[in-house]
Amino acid sequence: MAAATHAVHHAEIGWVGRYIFSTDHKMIAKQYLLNGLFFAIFGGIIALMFRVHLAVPDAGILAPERYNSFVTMHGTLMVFWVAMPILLGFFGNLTIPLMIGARDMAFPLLNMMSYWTFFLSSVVIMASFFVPGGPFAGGWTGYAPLSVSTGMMGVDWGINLWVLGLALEFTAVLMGGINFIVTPFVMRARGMSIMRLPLIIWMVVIASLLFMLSVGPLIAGAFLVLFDKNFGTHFYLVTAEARGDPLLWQHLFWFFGHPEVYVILIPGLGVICEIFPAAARKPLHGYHHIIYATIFAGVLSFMVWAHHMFVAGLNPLAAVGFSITTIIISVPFLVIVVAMGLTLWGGSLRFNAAFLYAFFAYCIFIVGGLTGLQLGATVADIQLHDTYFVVAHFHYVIFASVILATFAAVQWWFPKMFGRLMNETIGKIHAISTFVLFNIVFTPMFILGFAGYPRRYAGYDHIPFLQGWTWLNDLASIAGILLVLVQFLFVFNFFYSMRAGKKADKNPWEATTMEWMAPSPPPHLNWGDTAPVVDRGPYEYATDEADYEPQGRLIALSSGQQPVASHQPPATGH
Amino acid sequence: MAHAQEMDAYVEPTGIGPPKLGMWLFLSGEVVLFGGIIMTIVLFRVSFPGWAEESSHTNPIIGSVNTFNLLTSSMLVAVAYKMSATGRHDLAKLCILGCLLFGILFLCLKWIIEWPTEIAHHYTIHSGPFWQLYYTATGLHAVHVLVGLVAFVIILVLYMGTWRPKFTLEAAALYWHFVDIVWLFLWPLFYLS
Repeated sequence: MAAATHAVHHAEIGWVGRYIFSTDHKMIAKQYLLNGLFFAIFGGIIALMFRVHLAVPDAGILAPERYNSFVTMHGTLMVFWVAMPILLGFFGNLTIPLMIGARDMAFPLLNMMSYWTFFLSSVVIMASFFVPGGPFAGGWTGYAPLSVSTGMMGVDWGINLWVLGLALEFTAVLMGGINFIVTPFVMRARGMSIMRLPLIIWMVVIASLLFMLSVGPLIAGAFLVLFDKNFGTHFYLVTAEARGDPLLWQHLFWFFGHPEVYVILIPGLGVICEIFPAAARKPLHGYHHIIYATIFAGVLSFMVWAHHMFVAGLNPLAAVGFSITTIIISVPFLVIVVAMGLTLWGGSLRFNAAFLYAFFAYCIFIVGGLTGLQLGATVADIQLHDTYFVVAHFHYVIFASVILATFAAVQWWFPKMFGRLMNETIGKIHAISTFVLFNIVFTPMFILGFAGYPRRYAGYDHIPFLQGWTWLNDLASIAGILLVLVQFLFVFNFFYSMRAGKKADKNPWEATTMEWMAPSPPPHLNWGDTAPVVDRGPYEYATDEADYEPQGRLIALSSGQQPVASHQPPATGH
Repeated sequence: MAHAQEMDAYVEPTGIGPPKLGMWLFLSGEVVLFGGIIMTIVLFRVSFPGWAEESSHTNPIIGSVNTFNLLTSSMLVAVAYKMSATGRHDLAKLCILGCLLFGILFLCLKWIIEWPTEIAHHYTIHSGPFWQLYYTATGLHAVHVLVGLVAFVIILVLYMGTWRPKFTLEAAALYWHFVDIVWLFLWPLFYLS
C-alpha cells in the first residue's frame, strides 16, 4: 500500500519499467494473457496434429511415441500454461485492484516476479521439445512408476524438464495467489465490505486458496519422481531389489488434481456471473448462495480425489465413500448453475458477443457437469474409465470455463486493457462457430466412450470391435481441425481491435461494478487524483431509481474536506 | 506523507498487515507440502516391516540436541520481536544473533557430523525406504532452515543501520516457528520411533 502510494509521486517510468519489468497489475495481466494465448495456440496446433494423425493413422504423420508426447504436452500445456495463467494470472490481476477500488496489488514486486517466474517456466517447458529423447510422453497426469521407468520416450530429459517447468509454474502461481488473496482482504475501498465484492473476486480468491492448499503434496511427489529418476531411489519403482509404492503418485497427484480442476473452473464461472446480470439487466440471482455453494464445493473437492482411481486397485469400500462425496459435490454446482439461469430468466437480454461466449460456456458446462455424475458413480466408471467418455466430459467442463469464459472475459474487459472495443460481428461469428464445432467434436466422443473407444491410442484401425465407429471418430477429427482453425478469427479480432477497434468510453456495457468507473484504459495506479468509495452491492440493475446504479463513486482527493460513505463509520486508519 | 495518509483513509480497515497475512498464506501452503511428505512417511512405515529396525540406526542424541537448538532459536526470535516492538533495539539485535547461531549449530550438526557419519556407515539414500525418506524429508527441512537463516542475516544487516523491522521481523518469526514445528514432527518420526 505504502509502495503503491509512494509511486504516485514517481510516475516517470521508462520503457522497460512500463512494458517488461512492470509492477502495474494491468500490464502484468496483459503479459499473462499474451503468454497464455501463445500456449493456447501452440497447444491447439498440437491437438490439430494428432487429430490429423488419427484421421489417417497409417500415413505416418506421427510416430506412436511422438503421438504419446503430443497428447501429453497438449494436456500439460492447456492445463498449466493456458488455464492457470489466464484464469488466475490474467483474471486476478486485471480485475482485483480495479473492482475493489485499489491502486495496485498488495505486493506489486512479488506480482512482477510471479510473471517472470512463469515466463521462465514457459521457456523450460518449451525447451523440453528440443532435448534428446523429446518431451515427456507419460500423460499429463505423469503417473509414476511409468514416468520413471526406462524405455519410455521422453524419460531422458523430458521428464526432468517437465517436473522443473511445473515446479517453476507452481511457484509463480503461488506468488500470484498470495497477492490475489491478500489484496482483496486488506485493500478494499471504503464501503466495499466482503459481501459486496463482485463474484469474480470471490472466485479468484477461492481458487487461489484451493491451489495453495492442494499443491504441496504434488510438489513433494514431483521431487520424489526426480529422485527416483536421477538418484536411484525407490519411492515409486518396484524392482527386484527394492519395492516402492506404485499407488503413491496417484494419491499425491489427485489430491492436488481435483482441487486443481476447480481452480481452473470457478474463475470461469465468476466471469459468467459478471456478464449475465449486465446482459440481462437484472440483479444476479442468489449472490450469497453462489458464494456459499462455491466454498462448500471447494472444501468438498479435497475429499473426492480417489474417484480418479476406482480401477487402480482401491479398496471397494473406500471407492463407495469417494463415490458418495463425488455425487454430493454436484449439489453446490447445481445451485450455481440454477442461480445463473434464474438471472437470465425474464431479463431483457442484450445479445452482444461477450454474452454469447458466456452463455455458450454456461450451456457447455451443464453438459460437462451432468456427465461427471456418471463418472462419479463407481459402477459406471469401471466401464467408462480411460475411454473417450472421460475425454469428452473433461473437455465439456474445461473448454467452457477456460476457453469460452476467457473469450468472454477478453471481449468484456478489452476496453480496460486497450481502451477500445473488440469487433462485435467477428466476435459473434467466432462464438457461434466455436460452439457448433465444439459440440461436433466432443458429442461423438461420449458415444465412442460408451462403445469402448480407449483414450490415448495412436490408432484404432486394427482393433476389430471398434471398426463400426471409425466414421464417428473421423467426424470428430474433421470438426476438431476446423475448430482449431476457427480460433484464428479470435486472434485476428484481438490484434485488429487493439489497433483499430472502436474507442471505448468509461462504461460501454452500462455495468455496475467499480472497474467501469475508471477511465478506459485506466492510468497507472488506476484512480488518479480521486478515490473510489463504494455505496452498494455489485449487481444493482433495474432498481426503483434507474436501469443500473454503479456500485460506487469517485471523490476528489486533496479537497480538504473529508467525505464519508453514508453508512460507514468515519476513517480510523490503521 | 500526507497524500498517502489521506489515501489510506479510503481503504477499508482490516487490522492485519499484508506481510503477516501473506506469510500465513505461504505457511498454509507449506503445511500441505510437508503434510504430503509426512503422509508418505506414514504410508511407507505401515507397509514396510523393517522400519523400526532401520530407524534404530539414527542418532537420537544429535536429533534431540538439534530439537533443543531449534526450540531455543525460536524462543529467541520471539523475544527479539517483543524487544523490537517495545523499542529495545540492542537487545533485539542480540536475540536475532543468538537465533542465527543456534540455527547454524543445527545445520552444522546435521551436515558436518550426522549425515557424513551415517553415509560412512553405508546408510545412504539408496539404503531402502526408511533412508530415502529420511534424507529427503530432513533434507527438505534443512533447506527451509537455510532459507530462514539467510532471511535473518539480511534482517540483521539492515537492522544495524537505521532501518527498524516491524512486519518483516514478525513474518520471519512466523516462518521460523513453522520450520520449528515441522521438525517437531520429523524428530519423533525418524529418531524416536
